[in-house]
Amino acid sequence: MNTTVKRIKDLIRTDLITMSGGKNSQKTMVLACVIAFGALGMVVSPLAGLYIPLLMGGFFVPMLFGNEMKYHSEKMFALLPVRRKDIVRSRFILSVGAYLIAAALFYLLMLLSIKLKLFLRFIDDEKLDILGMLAERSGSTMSEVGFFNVLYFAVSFWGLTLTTSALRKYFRNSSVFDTTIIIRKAGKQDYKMFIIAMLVIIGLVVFITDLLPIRAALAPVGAVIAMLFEAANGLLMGALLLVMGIMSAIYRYICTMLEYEEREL
Amino acid sequence: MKKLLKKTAAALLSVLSLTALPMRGVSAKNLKETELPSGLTVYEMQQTLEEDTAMGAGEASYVSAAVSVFQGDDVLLENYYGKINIEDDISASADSVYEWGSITKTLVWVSAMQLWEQGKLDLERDVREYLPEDFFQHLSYDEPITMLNLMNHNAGWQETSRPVWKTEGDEILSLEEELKAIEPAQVNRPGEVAAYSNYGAAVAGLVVECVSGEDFCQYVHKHIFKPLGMEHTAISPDHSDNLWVQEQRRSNRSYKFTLGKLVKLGCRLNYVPAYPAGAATGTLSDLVTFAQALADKDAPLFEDPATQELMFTSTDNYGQSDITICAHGFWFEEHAVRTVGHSGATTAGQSNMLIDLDSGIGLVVMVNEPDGNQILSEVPELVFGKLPADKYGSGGESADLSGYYIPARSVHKGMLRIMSYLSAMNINALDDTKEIGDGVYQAVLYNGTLLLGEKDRSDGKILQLPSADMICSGGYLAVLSLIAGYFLAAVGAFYLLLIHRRLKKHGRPLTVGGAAVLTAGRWARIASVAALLVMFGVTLDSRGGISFEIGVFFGVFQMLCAAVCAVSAIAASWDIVSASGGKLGKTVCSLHILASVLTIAAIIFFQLYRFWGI
Repeated sequence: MNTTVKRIKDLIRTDLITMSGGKNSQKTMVLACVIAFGALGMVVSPLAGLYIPLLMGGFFVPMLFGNEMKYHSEKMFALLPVRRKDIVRSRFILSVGAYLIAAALFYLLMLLSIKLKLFLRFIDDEKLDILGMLAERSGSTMSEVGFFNVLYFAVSFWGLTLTTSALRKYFRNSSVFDTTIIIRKAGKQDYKMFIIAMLVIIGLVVFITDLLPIRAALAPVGAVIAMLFEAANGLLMGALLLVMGIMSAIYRYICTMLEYEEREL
Repeated sequence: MKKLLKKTAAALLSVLSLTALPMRGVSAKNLKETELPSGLTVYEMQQTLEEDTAMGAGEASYVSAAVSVFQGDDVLLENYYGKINIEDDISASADSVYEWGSITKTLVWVSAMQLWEQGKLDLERDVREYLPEDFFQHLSYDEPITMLNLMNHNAGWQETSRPVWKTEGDEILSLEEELKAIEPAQVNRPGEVAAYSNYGAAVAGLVVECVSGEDFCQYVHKHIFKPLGMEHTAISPDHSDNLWVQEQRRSNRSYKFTLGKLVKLGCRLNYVPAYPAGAATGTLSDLVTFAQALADKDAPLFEDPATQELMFTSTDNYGQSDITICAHGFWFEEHAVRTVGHSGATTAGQSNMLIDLDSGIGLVVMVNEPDGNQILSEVPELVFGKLPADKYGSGGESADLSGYYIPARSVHKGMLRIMSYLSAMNINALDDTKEIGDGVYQAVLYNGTLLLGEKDRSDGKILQLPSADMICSGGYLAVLSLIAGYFLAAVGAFYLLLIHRRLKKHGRPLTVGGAAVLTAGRWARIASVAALLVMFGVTLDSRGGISFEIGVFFGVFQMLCAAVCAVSAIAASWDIVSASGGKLGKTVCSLHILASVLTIAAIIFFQLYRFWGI
């Protein structure tokens, strides 16, 4: 057990060194964006803090492995005496762990922002207090913290899903984050995504224009979701989303481990 | 010729004399200059309302509304806004009919007071003495239930879980039979907790029937509608007691706004079988006539004006103070002045009736939007003003009302019990709450001041709001943890099934904890939560409850889920005991047992199996 833990620690250290090394690392840019939105969350609106989990979800994995991709060093692990299981484990622990710590930290910061309402001191405009207005005028029993809880946990769940999906894709194909446009023949997956996208667009159009009476049919569904959101000031739904995010991460970890162990490097 | 000249001269003279005489009563212009309790004149109120709701300036924030303000016999304002039927381009007008909703209950209270006045009804006598023998089948307390309990909504009944609406084509039974079919459980001792009860109000209507010997519908027509000349109001569930109203109602449509978009709800013709609680439908002018009668010091609905005066004296106060919440079924609202009245809501629209007894100024608003609209919510304040923050003193120390409160008006026994916990409110969410004294508190919100009362009872605190007591829930966090555990068990089961499927696909099935019984247990956890969510959807649909047949289906389904969970938990325990599968297997089995126990506990605690409802 201790050997395994040591191995994982070493692999995490290796990844961190790789991430920081080389020229033009993305680390500075990503960190700067995250801090910028955090600052906006304090001085403009706590809702700006919602971008942070999304930023991390979208850019954390490319940031971690940017240098590895650039210098094509991912194949190095095929030569080194490391178990593929340990590589997957270490990277998931690093990504998910760092994501959760950062998300928790900024959640607390944004809660502080809501409490102190510093943004109203910098820009004296009551209309900036969107969460406050939502809480007062929505007719809901949720406070502004409740609304923030629901939104932040939903976005965090989505960000965690993005992070673990990106990791899984990277282990499948390390050039997945290559920004060079490659023209290739559309595969089965592409057709599937296209059909799903079309269905979503059609569904949205039908919903907005009310061509079919789906709004009336969805009203009880909306009422149930609203009821679950309101319970315990958004924390019940928050807990559910958090667990869903973690379970989803565990699922992708297992999938990645199985696929990577079978993959030809 | 002479005769013709004489006639012409006489006619001319009479015209001249009429115009020369001062007009009796108030001119239209003077009526508009009447000052309202809010400080605005009627004209200013109308201007403000129309500006705020952007009438004629582009998109309106309402579909239709009928608004009337009166003082005594004078109607100061009677306006109709928007369309009662957009599809057929029918504008709201004096001929439009709207549903009274719970304002119908005031007909019950007036009827009861009329019978009291005649010495036929004792308000403090057990109503069982008036009702058919063994009428109530599910009472939990021996204390008498009096008419005053019914008026104060503190007879102790929970909200019924049976459907409260029927649609065209459904059979409508007699009032007695309908009430027997929806009798809810009695969960509080009479007199302790006010939980707004449609069932209780309808029972009061049945008491009127039994005492008067007349069908309630007939009684109201004979003793209220006819004396007041209300010819355009129906009260029977299908409006068959007034064919004109029945026809007009069918040309109405209801609407609501969702995310700024208009949603057409159709005719929304739902019947209220327990009709004394909320079936009245009629024109604005008829409801205004009724409201004027209530405001009239001569009390045309009673033989003795003292009866009406008594009707508006308090029967329930905030805390231990003398600030009235309820007066024989009529609710008091705090504005710049204190108003008495009732509001109403149905699946087709909302209405409100408020009267300032001192000035005799009253307001009636009726809309065809079940979620209400801006006109409905703004007009009371424009007419009666806001409750000033210092009306009852500037308030003492900041109050600590911390805790989770469950609405008394919910289901506490039966399959829908979990909904009461999901609607619990953390009272700390009300900032700036101060104690006035005698158990009365004042909360200053962005849109005004709210009064709250506090009462103690044997097993905890009660917070009083008009028609809606809230019961302090001491163990709420534990219950919330159980709810969270129940849902999380299902989420965990879903992902575990995905993981099993993936492992199997790669030829690496998880042998321990992967047995069919455990898989069935996981499916049972997911199915239990899914069934609960579907049941919520059914309940929140227009019927307002679950029929017995649907209840049986869900109840039995939940029992099966609990049984499968129990069997799979036992199988998992056996796996642990037989130590097959190593450490990982033991962990998976332990978690499985925990999740199954949580699911079974939730099914039992929230009575998800209890299709018999009471």
